[in-house]
Amino acid sequence: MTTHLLKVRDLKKYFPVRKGIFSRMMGWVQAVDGVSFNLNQGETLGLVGESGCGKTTVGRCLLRLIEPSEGEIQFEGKDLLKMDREILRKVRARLQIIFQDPYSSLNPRMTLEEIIAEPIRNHTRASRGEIRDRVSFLMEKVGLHPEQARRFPHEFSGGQRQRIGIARALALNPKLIICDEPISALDVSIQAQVINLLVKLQEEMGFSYLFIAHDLSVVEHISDRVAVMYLGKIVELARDTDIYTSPKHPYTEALLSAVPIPDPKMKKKRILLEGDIPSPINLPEGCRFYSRCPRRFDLCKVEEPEFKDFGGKHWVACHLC
Amino acid sequence: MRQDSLLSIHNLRTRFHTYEGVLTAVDGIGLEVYRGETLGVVGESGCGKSVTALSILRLLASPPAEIQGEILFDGKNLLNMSLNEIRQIRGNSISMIFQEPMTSLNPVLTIGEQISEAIKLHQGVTHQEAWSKAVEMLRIVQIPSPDIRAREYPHKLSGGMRQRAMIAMALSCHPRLLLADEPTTALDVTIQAQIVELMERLKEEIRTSIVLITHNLGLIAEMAKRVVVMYMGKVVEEALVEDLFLEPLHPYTHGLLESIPWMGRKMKSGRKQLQEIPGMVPSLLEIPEGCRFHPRCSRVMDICRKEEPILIRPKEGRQVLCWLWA
Repeated sequence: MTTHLLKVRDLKKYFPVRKGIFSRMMGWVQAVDGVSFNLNQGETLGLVGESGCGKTTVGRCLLRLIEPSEGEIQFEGKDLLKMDREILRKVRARLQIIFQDPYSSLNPRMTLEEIIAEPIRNHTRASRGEIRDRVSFLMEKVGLHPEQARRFPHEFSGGQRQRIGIARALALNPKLIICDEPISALDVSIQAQVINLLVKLQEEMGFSYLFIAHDLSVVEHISDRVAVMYLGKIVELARDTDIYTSPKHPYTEALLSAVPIPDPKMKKKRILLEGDIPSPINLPEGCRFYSRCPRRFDLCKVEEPEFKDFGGKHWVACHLC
Repeated sequence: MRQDSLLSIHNLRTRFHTYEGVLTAVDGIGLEVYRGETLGVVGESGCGKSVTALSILRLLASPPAEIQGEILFDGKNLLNMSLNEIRQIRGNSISMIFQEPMTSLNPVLTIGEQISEAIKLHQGVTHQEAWSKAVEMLRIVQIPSPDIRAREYPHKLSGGMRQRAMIAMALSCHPRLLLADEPTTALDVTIQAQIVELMERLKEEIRTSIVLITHNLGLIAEMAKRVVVMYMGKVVEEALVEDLFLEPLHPYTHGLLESIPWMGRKMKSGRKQLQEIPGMVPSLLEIPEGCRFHPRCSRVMDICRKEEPILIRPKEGRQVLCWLWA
């Protein structure tokens, strides 16, 4: 049995809501409410869901960019939440992130070389020459010209800036890279280039991805397994083919049917969910999906379904199963 | 020109006079919209699709914009009309909805006030009548408790609801043509499905033609009957939607289709690598010589580097701007 690279158990993040002149506590935004999953070496786990589902917060919690409220995050066998900051700092060399916005995730006052070298300078004692070589190597790996190392981010397009972000994430040979919506801000034809790059780098260098996105087509494409989130919880987790061919949760089914397929012959029957996504503050009892579920029944209103394995590593939280 | 042609664009050229030079965002395009159909306009950032829509309704400040050509609506050239005449048309016979509902709705007016504004302007009814029509429109776009919502400000509504409010506003005077510029891009996918369903239903009920501008090929496949593909200010291909997807003629169209991931594709092709289009769209200040797409084209020939291609009609209902088909 392989030991998992990452084991997340019951991760929670609640944000307090304060209102009024005295900033009284009004309630909690239960952004992440008990999320558990494993991630293996070399694997891509997709985390997909719509606005407010908590997927970005999960990504940030894994790196402790946001401090979780509760839970366990085991990376390489050790709980990140119990580590002191100094040890965590060293572990972070192996746990990296690529951000969504190629415009705000790069320091505009640093050259490319400085941006990509920063993690190397922070974590190693490499000499100037070694750093320069490493930066050139990384730039070529991501399809940039090393001669452009002295340029500034604003001189590059969105797609190229995203490549810079990727090079930076690779600098320390990480084991796990969290991709937080890495392509949503890019044009369609550039998205393909970046997706292909991410896949190629993984094949060459063997690291794992947690790929967070709202676009189910992209997630299904790049992932080996997919976790679907709704209002702070994972409602379904399965292999990519299983999610696509045999979804078990009504939300997953609705999500799949809502994704437009670029094939005019496939005019499919859309499952339309009624209403809007509820607010993650003061959630009702029972299943969170109750208000929009086309297949709900009485039990769903009062009791939260358990997240269970239904065989073939296919996990679902639903009373129908 | 067919009998049922609603909008007919000939040789539209929209230029912007900037400090860096003249940028030609739309460079001599032509297209037709027929009654009762949805025409898809596909392209990436900078191809000129939004500027085309804004040119139709003359929503571009001139200067710096300069629009030339012919846009025939009901036989009259919109570009020759006076400002007063075009105002009669905006929101009335031709309406537009925009990508970001939050920035397109007036934040200091209630939803009801904004919708009534158009109704009062074009239908000459009293305030009360306009208000009840506005509430009725909100009901038609399936906003719950429309009478209460009408009194709310845009920031109180979710993204999906704001988009519905904008659709309500655009359709309040039963326009014959709706220009929809990326109407669902800012929305979650389940909300997007609701909006698509709504637009299709209203199109049937109100008999509106739609120009659907988007980079989302899936949306085009679902909604459009005919499609026009734009690249760097030119129309590079036009076809019926089934033909475009089954047999794209222009290498750019082909490249786009091959480069998008869609559900189940990996299973069919057995691999994760997508077919990408190399390079990037050049700046409008550095338009390549010859065919604009030639630096990125996998099937480039000598003539492509030197001469701009002419529009070719290889078969009925199809057009392509490419030397491969000459």
